[in-house]
Amino acid sequence: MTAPAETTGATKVAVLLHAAAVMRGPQPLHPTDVHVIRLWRQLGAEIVVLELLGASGVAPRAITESIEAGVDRAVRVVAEPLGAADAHGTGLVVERYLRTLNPDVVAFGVDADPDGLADVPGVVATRLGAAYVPGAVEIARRSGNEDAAPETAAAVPASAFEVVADRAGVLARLALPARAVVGFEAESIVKGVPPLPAEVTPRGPATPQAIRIMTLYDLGLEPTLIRRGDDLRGSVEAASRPLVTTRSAESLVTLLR
Amino acid sequence: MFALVATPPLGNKSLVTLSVPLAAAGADKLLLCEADEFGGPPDDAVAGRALDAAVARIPPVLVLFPAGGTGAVLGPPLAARLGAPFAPWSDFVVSDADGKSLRGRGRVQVLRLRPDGRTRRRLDPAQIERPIIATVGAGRCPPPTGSERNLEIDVLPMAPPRANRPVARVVAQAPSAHEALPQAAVLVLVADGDSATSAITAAWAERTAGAARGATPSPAPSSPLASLAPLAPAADFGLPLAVAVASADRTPRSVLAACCPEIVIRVDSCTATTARSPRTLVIRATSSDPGGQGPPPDDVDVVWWFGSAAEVVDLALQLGARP
Repeated sequence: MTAPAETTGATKVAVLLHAAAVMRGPQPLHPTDVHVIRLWRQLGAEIVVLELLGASGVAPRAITESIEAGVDRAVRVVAEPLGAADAHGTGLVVERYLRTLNPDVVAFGVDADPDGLADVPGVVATRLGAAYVPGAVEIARRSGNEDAAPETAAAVPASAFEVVADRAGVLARLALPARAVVGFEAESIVKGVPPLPAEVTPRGPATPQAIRIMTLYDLGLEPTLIRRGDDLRGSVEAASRPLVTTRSAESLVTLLR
Repeated sequence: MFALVATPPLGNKSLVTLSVPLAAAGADKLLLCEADEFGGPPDDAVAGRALDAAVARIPPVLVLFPAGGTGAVLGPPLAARLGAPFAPWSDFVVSDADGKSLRGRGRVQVLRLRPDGRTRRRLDPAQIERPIIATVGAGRCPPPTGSERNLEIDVLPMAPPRANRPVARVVAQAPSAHEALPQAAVLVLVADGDSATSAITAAWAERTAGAARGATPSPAPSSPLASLAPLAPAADFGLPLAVAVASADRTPRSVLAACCPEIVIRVDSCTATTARSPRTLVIRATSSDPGGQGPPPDDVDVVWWFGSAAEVVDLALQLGARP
């Protein structure tokens, strides 16, 4: 089945694909990114996804899949200097774009970064002066809005949402301030809204205008502001991990103590 | 090494209670930030003030967040403010070479395992000329190296909270059922469907019951597996706090992803994964001949053919005990 095409609304959500990590080749859409898109579709939000590419000519695999998952618009920022940028340079690019988009919520999947860092959203939150809320496992409309029909959820401001997040052994229910940068876990859920049917795919065929390609110049940035001699992620080296097979617990204890 | 604690105002007795383990662990100085607002769950909009005060007072080479979840919340924004890299689940190599042979390299370097498990990243604070913000996995407690007398306490003055700073306000909070898992240095993961699971449960119950002699036992679980969901309460029975046994099927993936134990023991068909640092060792414990099972998954370091469930529990307890 196909969901109604006209589901965009006042709650504008920017989803940072791959947790705003820069891709250099065609990457599939991460399952957590798919999940985040579905969460916000349940809440009836207007969803804009952003993908960053450090090389030109990369097939739009994740973007196409996100369109199929039901986002309203997709933006690719393509700039070779991003391939040599650290998290701070990358965060600057994302921040510039977000200032033009002015979303109510910035969302990302906490485990969607292929390198396992997810360090850019923290930079984005700092640069935007927004709250940084990683580890969300549940999102819901705040009390007082729970009776609202799902279709009117689109008109709910960002501050009307609450998330439950794990905070060092405490499950905290947090009221989201405007423009919060929220990281969602893979199994996060929406409370108080009927789930989307599993077979729902695109809201409608993607129009050519749904995908926008941007460069650094479109964002008013010089490449020299982004390019770094060192991406601050460290040099890559082989990790030696020989496999040991044993039947002796004593030898294991000796080996591991 | 400076320990930073952001806490609600402490009395003398609480301060001593806090400082003794830090001094024993080898901290040279305790940087203490006190404010009523630090009593809640960690949040950068609140605790970030303490971090900023600390790094302004002592410009660091490394900022380390311990296992438990604070690093994931506070680390990336601090790295952003300092222009520093953020390295989750890191480990260290410390060189004892003399200054000349280091040739501009740092004595302490940070290692981080990449998701493929076959390669790792090496960060050198001396080469990048910036501090590194890192989180570390849960490790077994080393023998004490310091004494309380050596710990100097420095109460840091803090700037007032920034006006109009957006804060994710805490509406309600409750302890997580899985709160102890990220602290476990030795984590035994079992799958619900395995025959060994119930035997491990029984062996664990036997050990905990034995250790509970003279202590108040916890209420009896309604089923043997209940004691494994989510964590067998080792500390309640005087067993090493560093050991935890959990059912992988009933532990959320995000909780396991926030665990970075030093040793993971995956029993039989359990394939759940946790975060890993370069130090993390993954043991695949199998109750049947591993020769007939094909090659183990890529992330496995040791294949162990165990004889009985009690052997698994005893091994975990031995590994978790203080050396």
